[in-house]
Amino acid sequence: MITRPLTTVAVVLLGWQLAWTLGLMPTEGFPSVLQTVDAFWTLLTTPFAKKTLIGHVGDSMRRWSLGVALAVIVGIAFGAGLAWFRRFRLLAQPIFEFVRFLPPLAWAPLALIILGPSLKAEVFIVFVGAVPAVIINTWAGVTNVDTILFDAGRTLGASSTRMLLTIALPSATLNILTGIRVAIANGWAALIGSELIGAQSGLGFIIINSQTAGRPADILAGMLVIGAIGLSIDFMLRILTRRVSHWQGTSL
Amino acid sequence: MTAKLAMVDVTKRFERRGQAVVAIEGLDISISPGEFVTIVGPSGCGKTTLLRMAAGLDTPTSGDILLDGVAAGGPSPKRGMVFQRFALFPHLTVWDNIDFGLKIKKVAAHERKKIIDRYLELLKLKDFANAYPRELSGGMQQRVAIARALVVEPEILLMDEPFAALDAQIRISMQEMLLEIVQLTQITTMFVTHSVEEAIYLADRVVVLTHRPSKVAKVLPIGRDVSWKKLKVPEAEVTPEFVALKKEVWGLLRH
Repeated sequence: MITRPLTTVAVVLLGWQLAWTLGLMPTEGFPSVLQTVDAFWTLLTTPFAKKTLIGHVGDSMRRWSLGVALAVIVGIAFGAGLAWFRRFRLLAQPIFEFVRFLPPLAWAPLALIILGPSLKAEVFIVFVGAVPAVIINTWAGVTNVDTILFDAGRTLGASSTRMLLTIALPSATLNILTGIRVAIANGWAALIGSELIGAQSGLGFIIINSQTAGRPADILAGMLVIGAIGLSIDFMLRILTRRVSHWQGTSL
Repeated sequence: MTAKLAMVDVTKRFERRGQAVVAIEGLDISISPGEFVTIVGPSGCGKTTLLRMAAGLDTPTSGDILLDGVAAGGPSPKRGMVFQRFALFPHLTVWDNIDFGLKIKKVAAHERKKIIDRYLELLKLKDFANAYPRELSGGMQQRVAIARALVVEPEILLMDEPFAALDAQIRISMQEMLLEIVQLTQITTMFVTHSVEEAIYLADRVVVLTHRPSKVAKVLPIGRDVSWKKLKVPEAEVTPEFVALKKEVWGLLRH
């Protein structure tokens, strides 16, 4: 299972190193595999802007997880509100439709002015990037619940709020999980983007700083770490989703 | 005696593709306490609409629906409902499905346990308390739905073609089981079906509806003392009395 992707990685790295050795790289500044590995090792062991690579990864992960967690909580509440309360939908839907077409990075200048280059600004941008997917999927999930379940609930004396919490949202679990999965990926992309603009640490900060300092090997090392983390996140999410669908398939 | 449930001069109109449709017109049905009334009618005659109005899930265009002589209003646990498509909550176990209405009624936990245990026993679901609806057969799912409706002790049980989605054999055992439960609990029941045999076998009274716009074509009193009531479904259905009733209902439906 895991050997095929590893083969791909090996072939790419080998080709890259070979092309570099033969002088086939488009620009002279493009680093070799060995230079990149060396840069990676240096980032890992020597502090860069007061932190080693581990510290920067930690900062990125903290912003990302806080932003996504916030997006999940707010997104489920907002999406459920859109689906359940007609008045709220009439009021909030146009605002939401407008706001969700603003790319997360378009929020960065405003966020940086108001919140300053801090944890808050980055978390906000992750949140803005992640929340639409949660909202839309919760909304769709709740809207698509078979109305006969609400008929049954009403004849058993359930109030509207009780039906939202105990029938509609649980029935929409799979949709909501899909939304969260998309939100996690979008949040990661928004985070790296935001770190390129105003952060004082993090993976995006490493690569933008290395550009200013003219160290392409550091840029590539940073990019590889970003890609690798994204890949592992997706891998974990796939396992999680498979477990949940399995559980839904047999017992729900 | 005041009727448990009365539908008085009920009319239901609705729009379909800009066309006014009269589904039910000037319909009167009255059900006495403890009585089992089946409603049978040609397909598309608005039987489901009728039952949904009786439950308070739909409102009549005109006419009154009275529970114990008082306007019945919106849906409430006083009128329990069993749906053709079961309508169980898919994310809840059998136990939690049955518990749903009891929790809303704020029945104490130890009391709820006693009640649920009794109904699990009654509906032969004891070994499936922790199963999810998806793991159960259609017949079992409908038994859960019946238990869920009965535990809150409704004044009347409304059943909308509850056995139509089940295969013939299961259907018969469900009919026999339902009669046992009804006799045990003495609950008032309004049961809609398109099966003539089912309508006759279960009923104290059969109400036959006309084509759209539906009203009552005829009411056939049957009672509980007829001899074939003591037989199982297949034997009961071939007795001369049963066959005569069947002929009469079919005659009314063909009009």
